[in-house]
Amino acid sequence: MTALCKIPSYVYTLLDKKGIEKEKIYLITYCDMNSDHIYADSYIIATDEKICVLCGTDALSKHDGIGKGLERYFSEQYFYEYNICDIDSIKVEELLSSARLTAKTVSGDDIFFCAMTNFCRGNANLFVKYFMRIKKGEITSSDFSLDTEDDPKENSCPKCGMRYPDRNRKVCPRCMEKGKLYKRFGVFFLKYKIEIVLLVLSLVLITASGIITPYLSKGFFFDKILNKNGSLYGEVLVAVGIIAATKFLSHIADMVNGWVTTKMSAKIVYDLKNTIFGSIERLSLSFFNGRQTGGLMTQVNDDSNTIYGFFCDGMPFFLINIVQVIVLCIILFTMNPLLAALSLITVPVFIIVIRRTYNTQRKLHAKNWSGIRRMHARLSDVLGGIRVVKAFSKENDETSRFYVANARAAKGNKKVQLFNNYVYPYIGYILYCGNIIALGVGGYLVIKGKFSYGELLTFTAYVNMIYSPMYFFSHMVDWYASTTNALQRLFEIMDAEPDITEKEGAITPNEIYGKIQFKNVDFGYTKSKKVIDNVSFEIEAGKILGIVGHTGAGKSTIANLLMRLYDVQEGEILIDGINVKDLSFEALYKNIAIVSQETYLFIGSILDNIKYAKPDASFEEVIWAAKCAGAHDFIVKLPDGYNTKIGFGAKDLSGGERQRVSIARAILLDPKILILDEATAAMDTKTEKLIQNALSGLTKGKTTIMIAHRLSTLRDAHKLIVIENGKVAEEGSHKELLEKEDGVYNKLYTLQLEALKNAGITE
Amino acid sequence: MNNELINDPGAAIVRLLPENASFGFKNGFLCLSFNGEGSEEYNRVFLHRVFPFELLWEYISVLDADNKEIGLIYNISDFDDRTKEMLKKELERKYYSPVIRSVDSLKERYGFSYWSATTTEGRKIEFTIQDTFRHVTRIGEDKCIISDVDGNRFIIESLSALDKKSYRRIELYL
Repeated sequence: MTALCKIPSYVYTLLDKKGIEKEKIYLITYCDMNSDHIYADSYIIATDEKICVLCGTDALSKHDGIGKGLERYFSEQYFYEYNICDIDSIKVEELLSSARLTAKTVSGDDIFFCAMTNFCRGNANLFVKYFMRIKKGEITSSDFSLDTEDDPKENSCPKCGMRYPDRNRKVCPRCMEKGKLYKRFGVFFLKYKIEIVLLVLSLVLITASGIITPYLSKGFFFDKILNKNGSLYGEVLVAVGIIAATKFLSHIADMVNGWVTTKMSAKIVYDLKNTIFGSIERLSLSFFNGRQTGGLMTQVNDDSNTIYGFFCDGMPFFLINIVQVIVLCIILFTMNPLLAALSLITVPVFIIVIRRTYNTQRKLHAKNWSGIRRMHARLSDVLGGIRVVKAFSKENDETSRFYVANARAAKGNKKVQLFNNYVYPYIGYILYCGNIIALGVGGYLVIKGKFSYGELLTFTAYVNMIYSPMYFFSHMVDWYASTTNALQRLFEIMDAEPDITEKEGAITPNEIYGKIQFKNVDFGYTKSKKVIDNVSFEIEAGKILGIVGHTGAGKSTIANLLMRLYDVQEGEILIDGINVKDLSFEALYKNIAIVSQETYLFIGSILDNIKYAKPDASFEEVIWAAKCAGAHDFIVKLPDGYNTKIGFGAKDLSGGERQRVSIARAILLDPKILILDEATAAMDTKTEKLIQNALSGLTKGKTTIMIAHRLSTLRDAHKLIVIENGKVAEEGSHKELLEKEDGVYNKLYTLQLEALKNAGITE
Repeated sequence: MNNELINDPGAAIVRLLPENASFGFKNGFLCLSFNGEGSEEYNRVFLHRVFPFELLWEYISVLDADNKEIGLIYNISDFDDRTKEMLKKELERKYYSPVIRSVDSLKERYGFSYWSATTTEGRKIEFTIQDTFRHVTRIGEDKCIISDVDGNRFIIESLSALDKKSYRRIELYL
């Protein structure tokens, strides 16, 4: 038996009383609402003969009598059981924050089992998936087990049992081994050994000179040089020389430090960005579906800066500061233990105040940042759509909307500044308190003759120096947290395995002819929803296949699957009798080209964009491809011809022009299989005709898959398939399909013909 | 906009009124018997608020099992009390989202925030949000919607009515 969540024992006892023995149950799950959408405890149970719904509430029993404690029991609301043979299917219907588990009987009636919040939806989906698989006989109830990715155990931390906040990111924030992350990343820095040694050395020198300078300019100068009893009395030049030399050395160290840091930072940020970008690029398309492109861009940029900052700015200073604090404490306590203890009494107070104000400050900064982000978003939104703003004369409205966003950002900034102005004087005062204690007690000791004047000056200078590392340590905690997060994200991407990988020993045939077969293919972008359902068709090499269907029917998904941008969940796709999974990526991408409705042209020249898939193409080939695509004529009219720069901040092509350039790009590759996914949809009828003519010559000898809304463009297709809700609804030639009077194709064709006639266009 | 445009056959709005639509419940599902140009029985219909943040009981789109719109209810008060209750019940079920009374704790850790809150029904709930800034959305001046990693939605009906501590906890994300 598989329980998708923890089921209390009294539920089994109750079920047993109802004739459902625990041994007979193969699948059970829990939903947290009843069929009235009221919170309740509902259990869905599957056995070989029945599917049952038990609903009620979990409660504590009343006192059964003296001496007996309280017991948990189940207060039943309803119990239904249905014979499996009467049920056709069950499904989870998604509402907004909740869902419903429903069934359809063989006779077509609907049954409402229970409702649930989205907390339980995942398990309910699993229940449906396995119940239906067993019902269809794909697996048997006696020996089935959950697929690894479905196993609830796989979705929670094995150490502490906490569910991963993100199922796709199997990281438990509580148990993450942070040490390992840093160790692993440390290896990455090993190639900068010399730079790191130089960096540490320069920092040691800077710190040492920082510590020695107060002694030289105060204790040493006053007590040894200016004091008549001093061992070097009168040797002012020597003293000044030593001080100058120390300062000079410190400046040299500063220069070396600056030089190494600049050199290393550029290198490390470059390496880090390359590593992150390289890791992202190799992942399959499904990885990008769940993420925002903007988010990924920020990740590449921000994470590399955070990691660099921590390792190059944070770590060396951390080490140096630790050394500095230890050395300073030793010096202070050696000079005068009592005075040292009294002066450092303010350190704990200082740390507590810094931590407390830091939290408020962090919040204020975050709020300020969020205000600025919103203002930027508003700005880029309005500037991006300035034509619309002008067209509707909405300048004044947009200006006032911007004022609001700007005022909010300004308010956030003002709060941060005000806070800093209020708080820092207080913090400074705490620092000064240490000084006052040192001065007061120290001054008394000087009067008493137990401490020299020079010693006192040196001492107070050292007390001041101890606060700066303290300040640094208090911030280090948060720095460490954000770096851990960035590192963890980095390794998550580096470790992510692409879903689509090239098989070992993948085949690269000498020649691909282009015969395509889909055999019982099932696919969905999410596991719970099938987009392609048991699709089978075949197309001979060199023929044209037209795919027709409503928007969202799954037409483009077929193209994605053929290109292996995604892998099928069930069934197989064959090219020349070879499964696409057995073909090498080279064989696939060199022989299949796609022109889709969404054209993407990269920043660069038109020439670069056409040559994108075949960089070694000759100029003549490029012109030929552009002519075939009907792009040549408009390109030559541009002042810079094929060298016209397009993309960000450069020449903007119209939708139709971009489309033609992208068609030229596909044509240049001269593939054996050409997919035209609504390729001419964005063009006017005249241009479309031109391209159609060009393409008809081009498609000769190539297997072509044409996906189109306008059925007239598909008349030349040797075969047409009509896709409806992910299934092949009809199949045949244009003529055959038109003959089916009640057919989907016939209806669509008649509708489009009428629409064209109404618009005064005849074919 | 003039009525000619509204009545254009291509974009005509089919208004559902007691005269042409009769709602009922069958096996726990909302059903409809519709007398439009032809009469049709729908075993299951689905209600969608057209302006869910602004108009809770007006402009309700009625869809069939294939997600095709049958018509639009302009106001559920167009119908008799019994039907009105029925429609209200169905809409409340569909748009059910726990309403948060207080935010008892909010901790942020490595890109996720962990919330414990109490709903107006007195239930203690715990949920996790990824990328908190993006998933706490302010609706108008005083309302706020929070979406968690499971796709659950939680509502704060009035930010100004929240207790001071709760407000301070979430203030940052507003």
